[in-house]
Amino acid sequence: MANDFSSNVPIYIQIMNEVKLKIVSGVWEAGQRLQSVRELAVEFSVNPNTMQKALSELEREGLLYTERTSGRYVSQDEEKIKKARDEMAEEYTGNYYNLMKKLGYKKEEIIYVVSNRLADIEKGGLKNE
Amino acid sequence: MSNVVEINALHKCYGARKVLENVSLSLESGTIVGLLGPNGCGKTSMIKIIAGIIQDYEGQVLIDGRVPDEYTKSIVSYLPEKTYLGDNLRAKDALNFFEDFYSDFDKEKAKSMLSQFKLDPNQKIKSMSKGMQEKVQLILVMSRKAKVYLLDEPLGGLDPASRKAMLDIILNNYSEDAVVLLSTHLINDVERIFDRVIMVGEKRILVDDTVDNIREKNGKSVQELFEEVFKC
Amino acid sequence: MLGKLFKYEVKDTSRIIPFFYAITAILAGLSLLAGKLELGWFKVTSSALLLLVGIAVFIVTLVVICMRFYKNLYSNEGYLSFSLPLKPHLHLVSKAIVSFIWMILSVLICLGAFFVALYGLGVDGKVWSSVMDEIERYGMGNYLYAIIPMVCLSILYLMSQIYFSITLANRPRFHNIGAAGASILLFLATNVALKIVETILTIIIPFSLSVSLTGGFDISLTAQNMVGYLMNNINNQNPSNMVIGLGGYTFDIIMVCVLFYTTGRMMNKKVSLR
Repeated sequence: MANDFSSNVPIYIQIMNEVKLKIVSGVWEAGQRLQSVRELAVEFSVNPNTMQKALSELEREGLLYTERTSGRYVSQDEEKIKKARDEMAEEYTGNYYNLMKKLGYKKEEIIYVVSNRLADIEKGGLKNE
Repeated sequence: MSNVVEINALHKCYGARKVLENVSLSLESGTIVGLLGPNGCGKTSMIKIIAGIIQDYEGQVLIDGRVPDEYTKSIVSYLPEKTYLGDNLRAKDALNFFEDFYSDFDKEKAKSMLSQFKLDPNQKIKSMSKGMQEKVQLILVMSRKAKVYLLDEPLGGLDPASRKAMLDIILNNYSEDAVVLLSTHLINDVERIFDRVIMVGEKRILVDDTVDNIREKNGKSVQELFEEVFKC
Repeated sequence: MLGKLFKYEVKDTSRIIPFFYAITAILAGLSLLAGKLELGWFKVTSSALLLLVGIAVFIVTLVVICMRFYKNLYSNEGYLSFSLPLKPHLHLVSKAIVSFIWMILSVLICLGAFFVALYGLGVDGKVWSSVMDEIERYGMGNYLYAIIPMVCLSILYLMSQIYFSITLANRPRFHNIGAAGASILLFLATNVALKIVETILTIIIPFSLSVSLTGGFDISLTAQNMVGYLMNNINNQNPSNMVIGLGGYTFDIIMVCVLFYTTGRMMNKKVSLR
C-alpha cells in the first residue's frame, strides 16, 4: 500500500500510475464507468482530494473523460490506451536497464539475460509472478 | 472550503513548563490534516484545547468562529488516545449514550459499522480486546456529523489489518464540510490520506505544508522529512 | 441536558447502593421475624448485624459517591464527560443532587435499621414515647425538628468538601502526588482548616443561643459571644446561662455555597485530565 521507492514523487502522480496500470492492463475496461471519487479514494487508501487531482490529470491526458450528468469513464480510445501502455513499458524497461547497469551488465548481456529468464519462466510455470 | 479552525498566537504552559509558544495555524474544511511530532511536545495539548477540554491557555482559538465552549463541543468529535467508555457499558449502551447527548449522531450508521467489523453490540467494552475497543470508539466518533474530527493516535497498537480498516472508516466518512485532524506516529502508513501535515516540536510549528509540496520541494517523503526535522 | 445527566447518574449509581438497601431490608425482616418467633440468640445476632449493616449502608453510599465523582470526571472517563456539549459545572449539579438524595435515603435506611435493631432488643414504642415525653417536658419538642436541616447541612457540607478536594486534586500541580493521595490530603487539609475557622467564629461572633440552666430550659437568641461563657467555665464559676455560638453554623452554610461555586468554576476553567 505505501511502499514507495520514490519519496520525492508527489502522491497524486503515484496514484495516477496506479490507475493507469488498471486501465492499460484492462482491469478497468475501455468505456467502463468509474466509481465515485470517494469510493476510489477508499479503494486506493488515499486522500479524496489527491484522488480527485490524479483523476483530473488523467482526464487531461485523455485516459479518462467526464460526462457531465453521468460521471467519469475510462476512455474508449483504444489507441490512446495502447500508447499509454507502451509508454509505461518503456519506463519499466528504462528502470530495468538502469538497475542492470548498476550491476555492470552491458547491453548485449542484458538482452541475453532477459531471453534466458523469459524462457525459464515460460517453461517452469509462473515462478516469478 | 472555509477555515473551520483558527488558532492565533497560542501559548500553553503546565506550571513552569511551556509546551506551546506563539503557535498559529488554520484548518480548512474538506481536508485531512496530519499532526506529527514527538510526545509531550504540545501536540496533544493542542488537540485538547480544540476539543474544549483544556480551557486554560493564552491566545485565540476559534472553532467555526466561536471560542471553545459547549457549542463547539457539539460540532467537534474528539477521539482521545485512551479508552474513555465506562467499564460496565455494552457497545449498544455507548451508542444510546451518544445518541442521547449528540444531536448529530447517526445511530444506524454506527450500528452498520459495528456489524461490518463483526463487533457484537451486546458485548461489554471491558471484555473486548484493545483493538476492538479502539474500533468501537472510532465508530462512535465518526458516526457523528461533526465539523471537526480530532483523532489522537487512532492507529496505535493495532495490527496492520485493523489499521487499514480504521483508515477506511476515516476515508469513508470524509466530508467537504468537515476537517479531520489526525495525530499519529505511523507516518508511512498514513501519509497517503493526508492533504497536509503539520509538524509540532520545540513548542512551535516546524512544518506546515501539503504532502505533495513536501515531496516536490524537499525530495523526501513525509516520514523522511520528519526524521530529519526531529533527529535526536 | 441536565435531565440526561441525571438519568445516567442514577443509572450508574444504582448498581451498588440499592443492593445494600435490599440486604438491610432482608436483615430487618429477619430481625422482626426473630422477634415474633422469640428466638433469643437469633434476636440479638440479627439486631447486631442489622446495626452493622445500617452503618455499612451509610459508608458504602459515601464511598460510591466519592468513587463515582472521581471516576466519571477525572479518570479516563473524564475525556468523554468533558467532551459532552454542555457546561462542565452541570456535572457537579447533577452529581450533587443525585448524591444528596442517596445520602438522605441512606441516612433514613440507617435510622430505620437502627430502630428495628433496637426493637429486636426490646426497645419498643413504649420506650420511645417516654423518651419523647421527657423531651417535651424540657420544652425541647420543637427543636427536634431543627435536627433535619442540621443533618442536611452536614451532608451538604461533607459533600462539598469532598467534591472540592477531588476537583482541586486534579489540578496539574498535584498530578505528581497521585489522585487518591492528593484527594485525601486536600480533603483533610480543607476539613481541618474549615473546622478551625468554624470553631473560632463560633466562639467570637456575637450571635448565639442562650440556654438558661436554671428553672425551665428557656432558649433565646442573643447578641453575646461565647467568650464570657467559656471564661466562666474555665474559672469554675457556674454560669446561669449556656451560650452556644451560631456563628459557626452560619459560616458552614456560606462555605457550602462557596465550595460548590469554586468547584464549579474549577471544572469550567481549570480541568486538566491526565
